[in-house]
Amino acid sequence: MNHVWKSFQQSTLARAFKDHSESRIGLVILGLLFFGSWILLALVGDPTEYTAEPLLPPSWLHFFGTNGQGQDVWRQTIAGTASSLTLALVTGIAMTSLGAFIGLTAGYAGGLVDRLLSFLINIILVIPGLPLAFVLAAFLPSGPWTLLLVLTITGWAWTARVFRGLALSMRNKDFILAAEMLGESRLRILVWEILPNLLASFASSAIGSVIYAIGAQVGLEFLGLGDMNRISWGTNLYWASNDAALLTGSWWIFVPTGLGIALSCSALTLVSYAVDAVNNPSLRAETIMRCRLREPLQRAIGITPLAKELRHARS
Amino acid sequence: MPEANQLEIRNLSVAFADTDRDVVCLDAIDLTLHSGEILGLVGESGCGKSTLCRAILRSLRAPAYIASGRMMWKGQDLFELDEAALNRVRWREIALVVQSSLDALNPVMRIERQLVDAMRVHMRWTRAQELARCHELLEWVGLPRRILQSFPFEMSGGMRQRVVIAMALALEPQLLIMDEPTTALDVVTQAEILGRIRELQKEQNFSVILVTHDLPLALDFCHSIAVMYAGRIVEKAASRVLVHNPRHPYTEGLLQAFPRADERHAPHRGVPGDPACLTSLPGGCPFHPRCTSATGLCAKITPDLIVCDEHALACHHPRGVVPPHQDMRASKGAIPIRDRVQHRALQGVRL
Repeated sequence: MNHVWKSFQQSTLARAFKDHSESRIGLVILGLLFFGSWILLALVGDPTEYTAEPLLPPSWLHFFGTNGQGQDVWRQTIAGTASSLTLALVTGIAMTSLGAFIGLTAGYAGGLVDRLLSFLINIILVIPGLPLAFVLAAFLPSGPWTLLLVLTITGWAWTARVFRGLALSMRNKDFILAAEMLGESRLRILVWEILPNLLASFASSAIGSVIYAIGAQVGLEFLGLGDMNRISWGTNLYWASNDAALLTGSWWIFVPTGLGIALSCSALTLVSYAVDAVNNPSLRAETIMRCRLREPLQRAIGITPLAKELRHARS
Repeated sequence: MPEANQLEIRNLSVAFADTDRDVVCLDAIDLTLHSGEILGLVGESGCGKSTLCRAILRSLRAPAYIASGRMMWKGQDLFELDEAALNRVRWREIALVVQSSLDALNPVMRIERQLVDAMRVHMRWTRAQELARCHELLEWVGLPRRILQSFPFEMSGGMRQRVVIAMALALEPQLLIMDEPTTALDVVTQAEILGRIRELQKEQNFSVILVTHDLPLALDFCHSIAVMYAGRIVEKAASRVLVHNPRHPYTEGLLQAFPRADERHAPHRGVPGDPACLTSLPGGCPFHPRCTSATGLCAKITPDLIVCDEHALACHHPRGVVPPHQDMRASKGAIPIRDRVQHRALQGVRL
């Protein structure tokens, strides 16, 4: 176990998080939101319960006040965070996996397979994603699985296009040629030679997809296209709007949910800095230099700094 | 031949920053280049030749920084210029042919567009002038005019190399820095290109810094040679002096590593050991672990680069023949045995 931990500490990922304090903060925020919401959900009690009279402002009894139905907004926010964040993470990863699989297959197989798959990718790209998602969500029975399906179907194409390009550039590399000459099977080359090189790209794609999934999911549910009996960020906002929270000035109903969405998207973006560093190790040099410069913002590009422009330079 | 000092590098140190410590990869370089001089920089891979070239133009990428020193170019310090002034000097006065110049060409732009790029930035020429200049450049490097409309991938390595050299010559720079310009080419193309550069150099009298690890090539092409080891200059002298009288054991080793057509009996040896690692340099003279004549002194004290009769040397135990007035130890009355032996060698006694 100790050995595993040690080798993790020396990995590029661990070093990237070590170099990027903002990504560590992002990871902590994300962890707190995700695990915290599930733990609190078990502690605070039923979020659908009618606890007090409606539209009470925040107080010690109800941290975030109550909504138009007299439900506790604190409980609702926790339940919404737990369900929405989980669904977004699953959807984002599903979306990226599907896209990566199709893109890699198209790029690596080439020929007719590539033409057909590229055609499919381009069609999906041309169809506006969110309106299609609305239509699909309206027809299918509402529920989290529908959302997962709808968002995956409408959102995989960008990832696929990116991964097709990556696979195309990979398959021309000499080590792939060497593997083919050795007689390795195509599937094995795809999984063991190409995929490990693209893990960091996969991670950064997945982060983008999760952010998209959060936005699209909240959007669909806000418009009433989700399962209204389920508590989530989107339905919270839907009910807030339904109860005319803005008109009555009951800001406490929608602000916590909005903050949750903003916070989780920001946290994901912060994490992506570290993933970028894994993706492109040469960025590390820039990062190190930026930390050492006295006036990093005034730095001209392409001019080597002098010792006097650095903090604690070696003389 | 050489006249006024054109480029003076004084006490130049370059370091690479890391999170825990900095790695010094150029240590107190002193170098003078005269106008019209061809200087060769030789040394093993990783000794700092390319770093020195890029440091002259302050074009090293992060995490490198210039830890100390001055870079006097025609009387002004390049390290004190602001961005605009430095960009005026770059390419216009000092041009650099980078090491991987085959990758330096943009694959999706035609050659003409890339050639006129520098002219557009620095000169206000008409279209006709630009085109005339392009044709002139191509003639200089021996390429047909039609390649102006080609893309880099349509040309061979030698042609691309010539295009890059033509680009460097586009604004008639006074100093041309070439970082291993011919390493990727076969010897025939190499001789052709270098011969062409020498002709141009004679015509236009620009100075050249040529980086190479091919010492015989440098000896043939350059007026003077600076030998680098582990981020320092260990010996610098005129080529004709260096070829017959290498004084640093490292230079001697490098010379012996190449077969020479003119000396049948010359033993064919290399330099023992591995190149120095800049992150863990030994104390004292960095070359001492590989040196055949190292003593306890070498492990303790780093020798300074001392110039004597235009022959700069950083070694406690120099090789070769020392005329008595040059040998500091001679004034104390005793010539060391090895030097005496080599005096005899010069007199024709085969050892």
